[in-house]
Amino acid sequence: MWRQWWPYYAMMAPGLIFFAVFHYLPIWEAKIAFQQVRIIPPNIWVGWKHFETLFASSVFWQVLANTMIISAMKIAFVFPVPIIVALLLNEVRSGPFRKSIQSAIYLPHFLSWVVIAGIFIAALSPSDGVVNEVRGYLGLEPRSYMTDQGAIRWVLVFSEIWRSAGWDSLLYLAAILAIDPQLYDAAEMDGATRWQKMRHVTLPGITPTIATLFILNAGMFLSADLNQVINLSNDAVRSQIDIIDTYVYRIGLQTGEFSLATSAGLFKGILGMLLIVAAHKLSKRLTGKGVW
Amino acid sequence: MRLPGLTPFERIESAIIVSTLLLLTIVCVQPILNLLAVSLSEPARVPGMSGLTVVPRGFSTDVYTLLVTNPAVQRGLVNSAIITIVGTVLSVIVTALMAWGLSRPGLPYRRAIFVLVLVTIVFEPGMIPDYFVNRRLGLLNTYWSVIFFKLVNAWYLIILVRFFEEIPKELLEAAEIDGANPFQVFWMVVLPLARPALATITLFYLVFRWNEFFRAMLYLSDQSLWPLQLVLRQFVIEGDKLAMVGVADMNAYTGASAIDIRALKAGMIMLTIAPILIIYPLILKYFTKGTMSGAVKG
Amino acid sequence: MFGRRILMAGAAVLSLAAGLPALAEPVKLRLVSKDLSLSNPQDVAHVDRIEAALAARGTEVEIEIVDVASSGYADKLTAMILAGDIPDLIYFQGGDAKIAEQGVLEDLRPWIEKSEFLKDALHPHNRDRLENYPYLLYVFPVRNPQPVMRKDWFERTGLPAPQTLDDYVALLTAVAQGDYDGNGKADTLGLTAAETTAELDAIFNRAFGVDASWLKGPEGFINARVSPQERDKIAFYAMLREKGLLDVEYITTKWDVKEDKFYSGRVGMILGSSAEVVDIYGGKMRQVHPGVELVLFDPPQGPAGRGLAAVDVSKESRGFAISALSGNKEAAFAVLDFMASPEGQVMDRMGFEGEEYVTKDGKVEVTDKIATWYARFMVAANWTTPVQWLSPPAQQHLANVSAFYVADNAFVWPPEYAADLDATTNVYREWVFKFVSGEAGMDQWDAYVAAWNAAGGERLTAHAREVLDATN
Repeated sequence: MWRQWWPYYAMMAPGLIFFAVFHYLPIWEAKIAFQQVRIIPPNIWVGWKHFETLFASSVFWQVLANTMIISAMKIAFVFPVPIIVALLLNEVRSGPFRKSIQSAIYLPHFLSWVVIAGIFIAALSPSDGVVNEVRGYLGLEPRSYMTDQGAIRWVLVFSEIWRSAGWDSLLYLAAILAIDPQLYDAAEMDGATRWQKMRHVTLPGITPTIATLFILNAGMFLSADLNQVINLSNDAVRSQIDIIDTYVYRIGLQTGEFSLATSAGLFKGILGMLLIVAAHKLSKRLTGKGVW
Repeated sequence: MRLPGLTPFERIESAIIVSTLLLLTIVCVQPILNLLAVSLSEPARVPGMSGLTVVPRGFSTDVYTLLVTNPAVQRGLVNSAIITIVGTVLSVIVTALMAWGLSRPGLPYRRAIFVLVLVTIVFEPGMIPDYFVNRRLGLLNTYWSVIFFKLVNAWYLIILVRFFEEIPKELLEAAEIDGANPFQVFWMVVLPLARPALATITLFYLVFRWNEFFRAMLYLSDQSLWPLQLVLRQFVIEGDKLAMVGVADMNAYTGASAIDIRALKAGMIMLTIAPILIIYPLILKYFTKGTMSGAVKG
Repeated sequence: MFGRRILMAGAAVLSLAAGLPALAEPVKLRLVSKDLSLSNPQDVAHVDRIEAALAARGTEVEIEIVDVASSGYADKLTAMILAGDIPDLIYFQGGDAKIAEQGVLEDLRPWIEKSEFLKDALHPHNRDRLENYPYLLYVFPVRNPQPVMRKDWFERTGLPAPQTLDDYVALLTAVAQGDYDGNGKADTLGLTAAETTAELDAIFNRAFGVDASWLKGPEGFINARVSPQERDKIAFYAMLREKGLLDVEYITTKWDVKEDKFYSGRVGMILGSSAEVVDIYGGKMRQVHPGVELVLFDPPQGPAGRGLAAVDVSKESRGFAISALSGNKEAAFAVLDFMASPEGQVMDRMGFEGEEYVTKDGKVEVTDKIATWYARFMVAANWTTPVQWLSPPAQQHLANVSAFYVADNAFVWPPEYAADLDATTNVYREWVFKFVSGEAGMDQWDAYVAAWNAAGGERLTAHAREVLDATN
């Protein structure tokens, strides 16, 4: 067996070593989650104290709920958009026009959330933001989206779409290009319309990619974007969009308890792993392909 | 290939598709143009500039002169170039090699390795343990600490595995029959076929490395090693009164408010986007080669 | 781990050695500060001349600057220290509490007692803060936000400088209704703040009797945030907003947008947190509107008093510390003490002769470059610069901060209250916005208090009463 497989292991070796040294060694170091950190040794074993603190806080459950709701919204509304964009882009004849679009839509990805938050806050301003100006033309009352507890999660969703749709569509486009052109020719000869080709050739062709990304996203379910929330958060809506990471970060700032952050990380990690497995099984059942 | 004539219905469809994409394009590009406009405006006229305008108020290249002629910024550019190029090349090679191995269905312990990789996605021990490890290995204050950070991105790895799995078995068997060993198969058959995927991964890694500054801050004490992003951040610190001083420090400008901070920040962003803007179209080329152009004509 | 034991042993030996008189060999001192970087020639020159001055006084030190990026400073510093790399003289900007807790920072009080210059250079709040938390030294004037306005607009209103709450309302109304920015619309707002009402509290707290974090209620201490005094103050803010005098979008206004609104004329008055900041505003305003100066106003007299908000003296939030593990504590403290001396103050506050200032015929004059110089170590309370270059509003800012100084009774909370503190603060901020924006009427105040108590406020109050009753 090894005679057959050793070349592959040789090729994988650098990657495997990397994971061992730079991912697993630090996890071992992360045993501080269970210990009070002391610079002057020895590390004192404090046990589950950090986990207790985390779960005892009444705010934690609210924060957990927020995290899950926001992630669910993102999977439902943000996840499909790059796929749709890629499909649409694929319908445009290859050439300078398509290239220009491709070269433009990825740009927002490069802005930091600080900048993007500034843009959205300005655009959504009830006094002079462009969105409310449009509402005015339509005869609607201005609405302060950024301070509206009902609307703020949608702001997160839309800003995420704006930022990442163009960039992520690149991946799906690459997947589309990998589809065997003969399948399209066959469909063409059968007289398929554009939408039929999409349904019967393109979509099945990129389903493995979609499934993979879905499963990976499931693993990150409890890790909604920290920077996004921090920058778009304000006092009026914090209770709705505070996520695990921002909560732990704030408490950590006050107390210097970064071990708390590590326990929260462990909690998220375990749950993330379970979700990946669940998503993987679901995907296998629906599409025949999981993550492995 | 001659196009069949479009029915009116199909024309409307095309129009809708194109307008949607155009709308998306405008919405994505406008803020960038706004930042460009702000960076080129006269400092005294920047306050009050709306986020919608794409026309500068007045014209002044002071911001760019200040940034580009600053020796720290230039050094940062060089450092970023080194870290990005070396890092990306290494990342793509190591990732592709590992993905190839993982994509072979019969590989022993395949599932175990997958699980171990997936675990690294959900468990991030944080920067303090990472710092300790780098310290232990003596990598602190060298390019390598930054290059090795996320050398292999688990997401990209798994995505690449997915692509490799799709490669038709017949092509691989044909090469093997011709006497190619696994390395040669990889090099001569797999890589050319996976060009769009590899191009995507390359771009992803490139951008990731180009934008990464936090780890550089953590691991690199020697300022002459700092990448561009970190240098730029150092000079315009948010909310700190020293921001003004940092600016004046960068050049012979006396008078703390000679340069507008907002314009400077906008210029910084432009500077960091510029190289990507140049490289992106080059990478796009690989999106039509490889497997034959998959663009369906409509 | 073995290496650390050696370090401990070595530290012990060296501590003994430190008691010996200054050695002929220069002592190597490792210094880390956000404001000192090897790549800034000014910083390097500054440190060099400090070395020279110390040598002239008989203390041979070699100061080695440890470079840490100022962006992400606290994170990097924490990582370094946890990894065992602890400089001798450390500037902290966050993250010190945990480290002090582990006994790694030196108690500075005995050193200050024996000092030559430092003990007289402290500001009143420094002394209070050192009593509560003796590990950080930050000898700078207190930052307490104060209101500024364009002088030309102020003069256009024809009103006198506001002394009472009613005066403020009248002034802001005049600005809001007059179209001073000349854009054809009366759309200027009176006042804005950055993200929370904390800046406003700086000038309005005392006017309403919110004199400290914990006020005496009928049953004992209560948290100011749920007091009747606070309620009156918030009602005032709500009234301001209703009349268009307070920008309701303050909550989404970050500091740079706040300044932008001020320079572009969207808002008439903002608060500047320190004298330097006031001068920065002034400089930028002059650039955007040539010839326009700023004017600073005193805090208003209200029904319950007048002044700037009480200053938190539970601990310094940032400052210099000396490592308790260091073998060079004497040298480290010598540096600090020197910076408090007149010679040190000239260096730290006035920059370099010939660059930031010149001496002509025995008189000192500052150059343009002084505007970009900043003190890296301290601004002593007992030393004034030979020439004044701060603008009048900035000087007034400084004067007010001393004149209206009052210590707060806030204290440091044990870590088990962190969650309660966070939860109650969130409840407070959320409700303040509801009241100010008009979403909730002031009649819902009791609902807010109940929510505050339920979020952990009861626990906090109980603990506070224990602490404060013990010290009162």
